[in-house]
Amino acid sequence: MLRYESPVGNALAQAGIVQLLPEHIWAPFAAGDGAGLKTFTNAPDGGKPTVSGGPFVLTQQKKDEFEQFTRNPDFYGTKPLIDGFGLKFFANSDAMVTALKNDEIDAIANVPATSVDGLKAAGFTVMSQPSDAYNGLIINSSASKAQNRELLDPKVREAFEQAIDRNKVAQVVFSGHAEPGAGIVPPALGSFYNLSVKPRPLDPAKANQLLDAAGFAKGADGTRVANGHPMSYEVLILPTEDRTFEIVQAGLADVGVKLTARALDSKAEFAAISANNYSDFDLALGSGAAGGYDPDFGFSGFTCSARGRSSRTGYCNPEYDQLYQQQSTGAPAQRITLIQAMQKKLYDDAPVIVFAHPEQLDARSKKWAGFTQALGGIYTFQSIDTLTGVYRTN
Amino acid sequence: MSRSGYVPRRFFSAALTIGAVLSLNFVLFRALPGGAVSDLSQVPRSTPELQQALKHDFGLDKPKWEQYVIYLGRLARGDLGVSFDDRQPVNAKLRTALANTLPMVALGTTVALLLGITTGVLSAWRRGTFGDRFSTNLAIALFSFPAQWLALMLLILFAGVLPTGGRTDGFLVNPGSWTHFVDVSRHMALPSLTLAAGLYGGYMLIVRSATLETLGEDFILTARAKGLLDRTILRRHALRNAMLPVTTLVALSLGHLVAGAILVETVFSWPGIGRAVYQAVLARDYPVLQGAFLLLTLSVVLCNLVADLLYFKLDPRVAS
Repeated sequence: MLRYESPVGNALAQAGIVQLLPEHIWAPFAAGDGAGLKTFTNAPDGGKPTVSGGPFVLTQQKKDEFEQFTRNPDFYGTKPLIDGFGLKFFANSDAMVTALKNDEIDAIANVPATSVDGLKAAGFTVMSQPSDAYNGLIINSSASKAQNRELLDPKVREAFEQAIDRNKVAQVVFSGHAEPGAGIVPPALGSFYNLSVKPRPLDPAKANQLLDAAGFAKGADGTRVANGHPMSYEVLILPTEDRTFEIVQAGLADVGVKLTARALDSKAEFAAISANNYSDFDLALGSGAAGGYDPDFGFSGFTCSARGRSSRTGYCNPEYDQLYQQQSTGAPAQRITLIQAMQKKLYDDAPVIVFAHPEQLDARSKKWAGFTQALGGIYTFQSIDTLTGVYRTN
Repeated sequence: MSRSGYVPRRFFSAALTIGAVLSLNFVLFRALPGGAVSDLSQVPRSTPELQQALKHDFGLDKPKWEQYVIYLGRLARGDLGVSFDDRQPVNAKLRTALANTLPMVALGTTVALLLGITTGVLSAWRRGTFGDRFSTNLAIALFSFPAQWLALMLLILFAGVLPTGGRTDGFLVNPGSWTHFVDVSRHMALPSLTLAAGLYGGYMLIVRSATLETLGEDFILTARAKGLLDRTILRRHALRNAMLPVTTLVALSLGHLVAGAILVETVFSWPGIGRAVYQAVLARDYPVLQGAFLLLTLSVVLCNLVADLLYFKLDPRVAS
């Protein structure tokens, strides 16, 4: 039984993703100051499997290499059709795809979009469905932003949106396996999705009009001037986002905005974004997710209290915070209304201009069937359908 | 400079280098932007209190000088600390990673050395022939290829013949010793081959160059004039002198064994030191980075020292 100190609107969704460990397992490590809990790995030891309430138990584990599961005879639900399975971890996606093609493994989760055609040609089944992920352009939304404050102007953000070719991002970056979108909640989340939040069309002429109306005339080199300085900005990117950057750079160049990229790893990028209370950076490319069937996680990153922790935009709006607080304690129907309102708020304020929602891509050998793609793919903590349904076809 | 003082000076220099690197390791990783705490605290409804608790757990809330003293104290006891990533002792993690890396890199390095020395000497002896031109161009090509590209090409070439990743087949349950040996060997073949291909080029070119230089010396001409067989000239006179730079090359190669090969280990998902360092950099896992770089430093400095001492023994001109 779970007890909460105050009402929690998505208690069921939260409980569904919490892994509960029986007390008799963790109690010995909680002795004294409980420091032992911090180093307890709950790994299989001495041939004994870990305790499990699911259809399988973990019987062997080599961290970052391989995990082996065998059927749990005491599972209360639908009995699996297989005796066991293994998870092999690859540090390189090309090696993973090659392993599937060589029959070393039977299925792979999170297939790179560029490998889909090759796998289909080799006779493998590629499964795809909408995911809860998105990618987009992050615009520094901190009120304390020191430089280039024209980026805080909603009309400038609207102009940027209409200058960027979302379709090209979906087609080129994701090889067509993405849907152009506008909000952080994708259609895959059903009733939480706000149908009225639609992407503005690609319209460089309109974007130019908006920037002209803001008084940012083009200079001799074609770059607009805003508040006495060129509209020339640095975009923080991950090394894997270079293709997305090229598309964004080309789109904004057409409307007189010059972009240069600075590639960093994720830690350094976050440090650059959050430095000096979010006052330094201008733009960044980013990806995110609603966070499962309930988008509370995705929305939490835009609250004022997320600044310095999970916020990648510096966004802080008391109205948004109020909506977030209300939805966290509201009844289901009320939450849907509030979540849709939050989507609209984020779209209007545009701390992030969403480009596309990439598909969830998984692949399997035709020797096996019964794989079910949940929101996180064929193998996810959010569903046991694959584990209980998979079977050998021959 | 006297020969009697050479050895103590080399030892002192090695000790100084290790000491300097120990301190540099502490400073270097903390200079990287971002940190483990900021990453781990990016959870919903995270609070400043959570961040502070994490900092306290990792000892990062102490002044830098105090962290440094604790770091040196732990090192003196052989304690490399606890990983920020999974809270497991760094000693155990690196021991496992090192045990995985050493055989793979040793095999690749040995193959590269044997082939490189053999073809380098033969190329120099048969200078200008088709064999010389072919092996020299091949060495240059292999030396130029990026390691990760070479790894991917070999992955495709040997697809279906050799495993594509990992160190063992996890589905082999309780394999016998021989079965386990064969399994590990099959998994090790491609990463070792990739490493060998990349190293071979450099070794071959250096050995060829050293041998050519020796073959141009007057004493070789004298040996020919005396009517000695080519085989005898090569083995008794040329090789002995050409091996001096090769000795240094071998010793330095051994020193870099510990570093593994980050790119090769990542492509083949080999769970070695290289991959551990790569993951630790991404996670800003200071204790693992400090421990791994300490291992690397000790390995390179000690092997360098051995090379210096060997050279001192082989070449009377050194330190005179």
